[in-house]
Amino acid sequence: MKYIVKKLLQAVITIFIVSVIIFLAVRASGDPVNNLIPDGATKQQKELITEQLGLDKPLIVQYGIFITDVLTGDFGNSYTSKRPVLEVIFEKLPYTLELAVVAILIAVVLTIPIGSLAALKRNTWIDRLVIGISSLEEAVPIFFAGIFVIQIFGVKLKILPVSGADSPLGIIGPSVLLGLAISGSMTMLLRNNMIQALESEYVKFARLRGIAEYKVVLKHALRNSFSSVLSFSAFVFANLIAGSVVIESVFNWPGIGMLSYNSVIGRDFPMVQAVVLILAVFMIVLSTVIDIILAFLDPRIRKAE
Amino acid sequence: MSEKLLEVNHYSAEMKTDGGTLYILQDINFHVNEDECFGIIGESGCGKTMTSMAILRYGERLGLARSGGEILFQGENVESFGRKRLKEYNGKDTLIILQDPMQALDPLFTIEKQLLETVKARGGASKAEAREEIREVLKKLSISEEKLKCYPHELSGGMLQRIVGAMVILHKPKLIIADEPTTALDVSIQLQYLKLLKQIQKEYHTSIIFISHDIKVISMMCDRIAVMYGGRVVEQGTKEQLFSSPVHPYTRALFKSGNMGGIPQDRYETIEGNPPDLHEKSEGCPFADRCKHAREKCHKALPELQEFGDGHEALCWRPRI
Ligand SMILES: Nc1ncnc2c1ncn2[C@@H]1O[C@H](COP(=O)(O)OP(=O)(O)OP(=O)(O)O)[C@@H](O)[C@H]1O
Ligand code: SF4
Ligand SMILES: [Mg+2]
Repeated sequence: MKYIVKKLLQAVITIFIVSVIIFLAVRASGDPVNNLIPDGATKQQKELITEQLGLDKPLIVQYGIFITDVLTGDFGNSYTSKRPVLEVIFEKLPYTLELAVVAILIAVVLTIPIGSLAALKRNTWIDRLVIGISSLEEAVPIFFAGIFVIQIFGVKLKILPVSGADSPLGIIGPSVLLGLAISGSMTMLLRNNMIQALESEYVKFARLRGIAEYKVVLKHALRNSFSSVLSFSAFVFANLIAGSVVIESVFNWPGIGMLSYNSVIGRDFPMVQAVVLILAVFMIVLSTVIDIILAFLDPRIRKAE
Repeated sequence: MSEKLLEVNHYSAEMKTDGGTLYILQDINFHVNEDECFGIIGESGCGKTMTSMAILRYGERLGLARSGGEILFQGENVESFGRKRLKEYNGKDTLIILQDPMQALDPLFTIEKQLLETVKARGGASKAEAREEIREVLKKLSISEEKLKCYPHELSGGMLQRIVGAMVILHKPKLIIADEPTTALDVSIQLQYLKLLKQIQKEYHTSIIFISHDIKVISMMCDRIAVMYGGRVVEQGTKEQLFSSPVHPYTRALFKSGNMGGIPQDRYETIEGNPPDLHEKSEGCPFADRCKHAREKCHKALPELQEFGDGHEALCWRPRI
């Protein structure tokens, strides 16, 4: 319980620091006013807009306004679509989350049996096959694999939609591809951790106490290796959300990746600022939740804190 | 002394590594009677643990392959055990006490879960009966019941080793292999633990193979003793035979250097030289390079086993009689 409170407090502090950094970074990236005024505008016009945006006030005051707005849920309006930024983001985010969650589930479902099998059959042809396929999954750039999948299954065979999220089948292409890409490193991670666990003294002792092999493997070896898979999933999840640009643009998937891509291209600063902040908060919350789950799974973490 | 519980007959085993074949155990020959404590002593790397792994059929998991001889448990060849019999052999007939209790228990499960698991593996008790049985054993070992809810990292090494002791009692094995069970414990509680083992042995008529570096501990615990060197048993006999008239130069050096009352630390330093390289089967006596009494013959041919009294034998060309 104390551990949870402590983790939550840490999360709040981190979010605060991140908000300051984003605030400063946006301001340091140049004067947004230049992007708003027409070419050849007068100095007065420029000053007027600066004043309207509150950019003439001291930084502390500006931050105060910024954070109060954010806390009341007001991220401003998009320059391009004129709609409230938040509204647009929450429209797009579920697509990205859906894709990430499905991809990770696919990866985990593939990883647990395959990684365990490789560890149990260490140094046999099965293990080598798994290592080979895993490195292949890691190595193939998702961009090319994506184009390939679209060509084969979308254009030629016509069993999957070529792009977009309009059809319920649309998620298959990107999620399977992403899932495979993730499962490559995830499988290797599980395999290596599992090998370590299988060589441990507690597994030896469990076997020598006559505990059935499937229990030794599932209860002792797998459970001790599973935390690593969980942490890795969280890490991947965060990266997927942040790095959703490529897969979403290839498959024309209308998520947050597409949104940030478009808003950076269109210099839609309120949008960029909001996307970055929301993603940052999202990841901090995620990592906090994962820490708490890990502590729940492993009594030693609870003790250490 | 009654029936032979375990017989290790001229057992040899090798391990294939990237650096070539290691001849880890060579022509190991001894037996353990029912209701006796058999000691194995020898310096680090001489094959004590590997011998116990071979006995428990765990050697194959470590890449240790038999190249000769056999191991019989109550007359049955342990290598003939199928999956079911092996589970029974590990779960019921034998139990090992590992050196480091901190590593031996799974960090993610409570003591209670792991004790229950042990009873379940042994069989013959419902869950409620198992709980009751555990409670009784804990009482017997004066371990408070609160410890059941603890995770291994929350307990001291001494307490964990006593928990393992509780597993032994729950298990009721015919053979306990105690592989340096007190090395990882605080000196102050070592004696207490040894007494516990003795008590278990007396009460349940269990046989023990007791492995140690420590001559003092071995002499306190064991009825008969084997001295190992370089993957071989170089001398064995009863405690009295070995302590009053050791004949092998290695045994003598070991006993002399292992100050019988002192703190057992690094005392093998006093025997000059290094243990033999297990990569090659030595032509002569494995101890020849370090032996003060070595002659040409010692380097040329492996000594023949000689008897020096009932069950007292040594592998040496020039025994000290
Ligand atoms: N996995 C392994 N690979 C290669 N050699 C090994 C392996 N495990 C053990 N050995 C070798 O087998 C020999 C016997 O080891 P063993 O563990 O039986 O020694 P020990 O007598 O128990 O020593 P200690 O007193 O240090 O526990 C040693 O020389 C060791 O180097
Ligand atoms: S055989 Fe020779 S070298 Fe070996 S222990 Fe005996 S005297 Fe020493
Ligand atoms: Mg050992």
